[in-house]
Amino acid sequence: MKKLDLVLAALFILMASVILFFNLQLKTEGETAVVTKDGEILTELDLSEDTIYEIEINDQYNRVKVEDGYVSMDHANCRDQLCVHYAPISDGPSSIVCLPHRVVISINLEKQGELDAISQ
Amino acid sequence: MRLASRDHLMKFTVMAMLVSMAAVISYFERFIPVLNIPGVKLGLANVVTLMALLLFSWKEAFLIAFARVLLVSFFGGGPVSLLYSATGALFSLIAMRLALFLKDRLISVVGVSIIGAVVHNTAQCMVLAIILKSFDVAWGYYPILIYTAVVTGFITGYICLHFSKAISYTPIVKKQD
Repeated sequence: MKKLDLVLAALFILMASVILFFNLQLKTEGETAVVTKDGEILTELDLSEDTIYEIEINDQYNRVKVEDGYVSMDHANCRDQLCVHYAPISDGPSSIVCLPHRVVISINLEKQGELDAISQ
Repeated sequence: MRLASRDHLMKFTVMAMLVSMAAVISYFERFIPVLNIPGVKLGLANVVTLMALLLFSWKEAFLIAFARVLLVSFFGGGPVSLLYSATGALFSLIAMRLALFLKDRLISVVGVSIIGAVVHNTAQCMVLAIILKSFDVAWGYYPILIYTAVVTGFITGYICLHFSKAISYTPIVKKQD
């Protein structure tokens, strides 16, 4: 093993940390949750009021629940049920993904986009 | 009918063994979740791809990686996980082959392996972005993927380092030279 191997590893870790840092910088007070399917925005949910939003397209059913400022995937008829087990999210670049149905719930996607453009 | 030579048989047997090893590693890797997203894997099977690159040419390494990816998707993984592992395997193979040019001069097998692992996870992240049609979400996951890549790359590289030392006393290597 050579010294440069460790330098390389450190470099990659540094790179990841920089990306992580900038991603966390984008962490904003989440006011709305954006629900997308196939990359298209379906709706924007206000996190300050408790709501339930249902998506049903071609037998693909997802129920998004907003409660106490947190958004979660309440129910889904996808095969792996991973999205249902995600912890509720309220802020930041975190998101809930239902891969089989390609449904993504993320916080303030558009706001993040604007900040991204500024930071670049 | 001409019989295959001893060297040929040896190579063929070793390649078959590598494929089975890679397939088993790749299969059990599925039970170690990286991101809560089915299909995204650690890339531990890269250890075999790297061994194949050290023992044979890139063509044989490609064959081994390709056979492994196909086999594991038949075992049960589906088209989505095939897409992840095929893209990851292909890109990391190319990256490791290129990195091997620097081997012994600048970096060791461990460095090559880390580069391969990082490229493997970058490729998986790109597939994730394409599947979700959302760059932002994939970008949010990218740092975690790099962290895990450095760790797995280090482990697989370390294994390869000692494996290549151990194997240098066997006829498998001598016959290839």
